[in-house]
Amino acid sequence: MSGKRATIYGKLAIVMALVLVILAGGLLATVREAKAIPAWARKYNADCAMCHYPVVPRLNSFGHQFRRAGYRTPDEFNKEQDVSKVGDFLSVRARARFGYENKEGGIERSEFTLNDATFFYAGALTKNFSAFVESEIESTGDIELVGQLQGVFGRSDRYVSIRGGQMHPLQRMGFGGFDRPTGISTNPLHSTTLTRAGTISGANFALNKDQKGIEVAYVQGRARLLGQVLNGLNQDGSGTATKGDTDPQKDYLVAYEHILDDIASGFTLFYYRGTYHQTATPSAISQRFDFSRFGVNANKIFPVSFGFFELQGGFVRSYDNVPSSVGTDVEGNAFYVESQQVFKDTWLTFIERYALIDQDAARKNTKRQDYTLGAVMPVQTWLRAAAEYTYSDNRAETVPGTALTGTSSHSALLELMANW
Amino acid sequence: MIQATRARVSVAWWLTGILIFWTVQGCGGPVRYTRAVNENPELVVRLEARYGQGQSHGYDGAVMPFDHPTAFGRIEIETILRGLRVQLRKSLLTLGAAESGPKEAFTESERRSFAPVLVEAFAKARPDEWVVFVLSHPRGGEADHRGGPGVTEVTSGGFLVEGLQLHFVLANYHSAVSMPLILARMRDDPLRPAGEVFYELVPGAHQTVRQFDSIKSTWDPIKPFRAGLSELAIDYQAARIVPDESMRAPDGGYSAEERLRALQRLRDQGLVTEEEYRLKRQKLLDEL
Repeated sequence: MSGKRATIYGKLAIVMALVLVILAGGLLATVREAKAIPAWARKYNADCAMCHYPVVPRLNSFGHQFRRAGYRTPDEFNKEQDVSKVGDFLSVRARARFGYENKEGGIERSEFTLNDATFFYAGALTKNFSAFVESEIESTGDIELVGQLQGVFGRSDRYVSIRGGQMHPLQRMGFGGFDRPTGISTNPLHSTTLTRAGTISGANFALNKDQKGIEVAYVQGRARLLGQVLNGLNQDGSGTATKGDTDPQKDYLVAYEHILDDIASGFTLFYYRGTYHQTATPSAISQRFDFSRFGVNANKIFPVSFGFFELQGGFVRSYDNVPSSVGTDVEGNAFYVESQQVFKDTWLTFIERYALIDQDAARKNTKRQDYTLGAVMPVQTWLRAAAEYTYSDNRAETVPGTALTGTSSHSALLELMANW
Repeated sequence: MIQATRARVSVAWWLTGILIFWTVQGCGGPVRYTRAVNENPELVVRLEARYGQGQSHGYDGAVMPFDHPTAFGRIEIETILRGLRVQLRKSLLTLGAAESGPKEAFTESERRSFAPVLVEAFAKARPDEWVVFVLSHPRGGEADHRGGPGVTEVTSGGFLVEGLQLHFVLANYHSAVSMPLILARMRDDPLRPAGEVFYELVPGAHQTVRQFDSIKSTWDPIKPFRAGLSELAIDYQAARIVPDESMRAPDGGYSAEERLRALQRLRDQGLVTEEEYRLKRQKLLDEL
């Protein structure tokens, strides 16, 4: 074993040991209960298992249907709401993290952060309308705002939903892996730019970006068909900045999702078509990217003797119509597979994920691969602890035929998430 | 250097092993033997012998701990059930939840359907068996579940008799459940809270409350940190005579059946002699 490899394995062992020690500590302190989002837990006298699987914030099948319906249960359709109890609508979340990163050729570092403090005001307001407001104060001092109004018209088994505002388009709202992650990090298919053309980036677009727009959805039983018209992202990859993608071209998303069981199994098919400008001057047509993303996300959960076993995966096909002044068109492929093991009683969950993103399918050595291991468990009713380790191999050719550049990295995250 | 690395890897493996052992051990629960008294979706009542540390209410299983079978009357049980109260438990999670004071643990319709089954259960119970129950009904009615999984409200817990006290443990109170697997777990072990314990028992007349800690697995290092359940000890000899006008027979008194059952129970417990029992019984029969 060379000295360098020994160092890497040694650090790996330290990180693993740290993760395990934290988990063991969590076990000692846990109350072994399923956990709840506070506002609706108070409103419905419900443990979090009513809406979440396996732990907050990921939703179970009922939780998805509750959210689709504008935060109302089946028996609350077309009924007036009691909005006088503010505690049924308000909640707060805080996430504290300890992060470690070691990039090849870079400087090893670690830091404690208060990732965010977030305030929610959400729920059904009248028999047809509901609101969701999320104000997230990040460690950088930036404030991210999500605010949407939703109208629901029909019966509990068949209805039309209209949603508008500054919102999560699909990631964090969808099904079969599009929901918020069980662990800490969002899978890279949804959180990163999926294409790269030559020496420049492709469309600066990621599926998890919040955007302004409107959505119309039709829900029948466990199926939902939805269409969205969105502003799109600006040159910085933001869909919420004051200045941004304000050109006449809109982005469009069509998706179909289906819930397969009463736990949280299902799938989502989607197609996204958009435009993106590399500069802040959208009139320059020579700088306009037309791009598309389509794919599928699916998961299946199996009850087993120790609890639950889940298989999850997704595929995204990317296509960027790159302006000739910038480069040639680029096509990308990306997929991930993930498994999870949930232990009943404790709800201790282990997560293993492999993701591969080929940012330019026509060329060799343009792949990024992420290997992730994680664990999460509820510690108290209002508190969950999670740990995650990722090895990311992001070495690729920037110029065809030349040596690989880029970095590989080891990173670990410990997180405490509190909800009141 | 290499030795140091090996040592770290070794530590990691040991910790992994400890974690797995911990997890597997933590899944162990009491050994339970059950007999069904009533099994339908809305009301499950079972007799359940629970073995393991702490499972037999302070006894280790070598001694039959409970005074079962016990002959209760329906009206007697209804009266006792009527006297059970719960209130929202103060915790960080319930901060801001608007809730008035104590309320009845069982509605009138629940008492009416529940009481006769409880009477039957206590009459059949062996000295090592709890009487456990699960009351459940869909919130908003069955019709509102047509859009997929709906919410089922579950109340569950258990009873036992020790001496002259009827003990009551409430594990879940009107808990909203959406996942059938969670519901199945609650029906499987009615003495185990499915999650957050929102409600606690409130002692009334002839009742005392204490912490109940006998539902945990046999290996439980986190006992001090767990949110506990409360247990109510009811002096049922006193509680049963609480006037309950709605339960009385048309003539204003208790029915002959109730009086005969009560008399039989008094004899079984040695509170009246065989001679007194025989005379009183004959007198009651003569009044029919």
